[in-house]
Amino acid sequence: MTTDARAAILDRIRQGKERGYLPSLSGTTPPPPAPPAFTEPLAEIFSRAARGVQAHVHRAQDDAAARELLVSEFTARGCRQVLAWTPAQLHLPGLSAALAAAGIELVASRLPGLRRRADLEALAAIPVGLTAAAAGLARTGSLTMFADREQGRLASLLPPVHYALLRLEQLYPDIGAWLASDGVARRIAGSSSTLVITGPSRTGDIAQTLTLGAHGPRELHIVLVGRAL
Amino acid sequence: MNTGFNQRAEIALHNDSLQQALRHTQGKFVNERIRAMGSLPHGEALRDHARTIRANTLARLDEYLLAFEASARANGSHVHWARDGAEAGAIVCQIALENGVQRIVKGKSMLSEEVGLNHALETAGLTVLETDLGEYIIQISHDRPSHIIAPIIHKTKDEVAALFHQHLGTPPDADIPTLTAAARSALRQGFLQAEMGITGANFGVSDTGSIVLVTNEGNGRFCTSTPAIHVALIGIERIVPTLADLGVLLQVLAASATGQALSAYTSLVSGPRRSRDEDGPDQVHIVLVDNGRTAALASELAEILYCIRCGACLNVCPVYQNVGGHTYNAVYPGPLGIVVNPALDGLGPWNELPQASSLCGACTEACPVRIDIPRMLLKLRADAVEQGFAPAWLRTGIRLYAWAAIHPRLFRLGGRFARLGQRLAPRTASGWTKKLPGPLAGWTQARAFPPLAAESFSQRWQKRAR
Repeated sequence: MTTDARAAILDRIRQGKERGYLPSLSGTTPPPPAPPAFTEPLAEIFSRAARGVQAHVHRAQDDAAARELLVSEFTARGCRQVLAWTPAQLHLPGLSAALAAAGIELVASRLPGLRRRADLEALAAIPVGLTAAAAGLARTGSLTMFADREQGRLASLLPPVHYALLRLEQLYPDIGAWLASDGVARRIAGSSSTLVITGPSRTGDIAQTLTLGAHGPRELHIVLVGRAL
Repeated sequence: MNTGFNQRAEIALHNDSLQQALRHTQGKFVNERIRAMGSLPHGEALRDHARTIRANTLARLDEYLLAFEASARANGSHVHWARDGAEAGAIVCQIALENGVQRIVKGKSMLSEEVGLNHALETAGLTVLETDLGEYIIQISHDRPSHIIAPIIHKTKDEVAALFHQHLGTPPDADIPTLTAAARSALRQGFLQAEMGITGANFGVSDTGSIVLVTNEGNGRFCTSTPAIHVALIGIERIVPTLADLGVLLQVLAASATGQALSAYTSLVSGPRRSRDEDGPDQVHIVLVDNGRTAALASELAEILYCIRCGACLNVCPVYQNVGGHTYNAVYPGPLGIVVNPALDGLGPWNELPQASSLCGACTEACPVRIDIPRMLLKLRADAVEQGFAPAWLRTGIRLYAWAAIHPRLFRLGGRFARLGQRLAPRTASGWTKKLPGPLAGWTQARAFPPLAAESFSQRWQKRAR
């Protein structure tokens, strides 16, 4: 069925083009228009934009400060488990030891095969998620991340609160600059899921009134690590 | 069939709760879009560029579709082609039945509404749970979406509270956060239990074979993450060649649809979970749906295929603003719907729709890809007359008028009669005629007719010449 349909649809598209109701163009699109460059540091633009979409931005001068911040945030929330990428993928040496010392365990989101309901229900009870990010997009205050080895997609989706680690050197001006940067196209094609997150989950469906935490996390905390120059 | 637009409009205009809901929300949408577009330093250039991208893509659509198919297959996705809604439904049902699926969670997809997917699935004995908050409310109240972005724009908060009180046991006067939380926990169970997730797709990227989903709630992420099988329906026109093109379209889409710089979640699904992945679906199926799009491509309405379904034209349309989406009795309401429904299905069932416009052009001004909707409306109106959908008196009347207009004496006589008749007819305080006779009565059904000048143009011209 689908082979016949494929041939028929392609055929009809070619016939349709011949009718000439669409402008016949070269089909090559020039590069997108570039916005004027930012005059402020990207970290400032990013923080302001992220707060503008209801994300919390925490600044940490170095790794030690980032570790301390996470331990104190998780302790204050009284959580014993955090749904997280593996320590190797969080790129914050010493974090799991520091959390273990505070009685907090990092749990990975392994979901084997088709029978997954019981595993999912266990994971869904964990109150906080922790991931790193592949990039930060300054203009929109967005984070990008790829699903990959030891980087489950559920850590940023299931828990009601999501913490994400981002380094200053990972900041790009905007989504266009990030998509055009080296290696990103190859990563997108090679990763089963690429995600651009802009603020916590939200809905405006009832009376167009903004409400956070529709299905995904209702809180998004971005820990921006690094010393501004 | 789409008859009775005027009757439905009349009912909608007298529906106080609908009018209240429309007034409350419409202004927000319009202002937010203008603010978001204005905050992009190169917003107007981006719109021009977005239009170029859409034009270039459609000019070589067959090549880009084949490239998309090849890249998607290389990522491990299954690619299916469906000529019409029935084929699309059959493909999805077959995937579900072959894999022993019983429970399905579904993200918001206008294409699935267009092809009647839920009906096909339910007929096959499958349970479908709509997970977009608005679509969930539509599903439990057996209603229909009235806006392509905000499906329950016609419902007030109190109506939703009453519905949730009945279905989810929330207090009858619950506030919006309470209602949202109740839906969150009810639907969370659905996400954890479903074996299959179905979504639409905002775009498909040829270069990477990715399906792109733009959502705010996160239900789209769930549908593509927790179930073992993900099926995405995509219209064949929604292909973008490159990631650079995608970046441009994502920005104008988010700004035009909801006034955001980017929507909360933009997901690019490039195939099923790899063996190294921790989670994600084991199978990804992409269904490329024609359902009238190739017919539109071969017609003077081809430009409507540039549409990226942001809904901005609905929000600014003076007709939509007053009568709401249900009056159109179509999956796609508003200026978009007036053109796209006849473009996909032919004018037969939709011959009334092209009249539901004042030709003010607000839609084109708001459109992120600057689609010339009024041009296509005029074409459709002309087609409606040619295909015999216009009332017989209109054709006769215009012939009579044309004949009189080239016979000056007759024309002057007609004018004199009209001015005399006007004096005898019931008039408003300012002299406007309240009721026109015969086939012209339709004009004065909802408004008065302006008075004819005491002196005709030719009389004044003669005086001036003297």
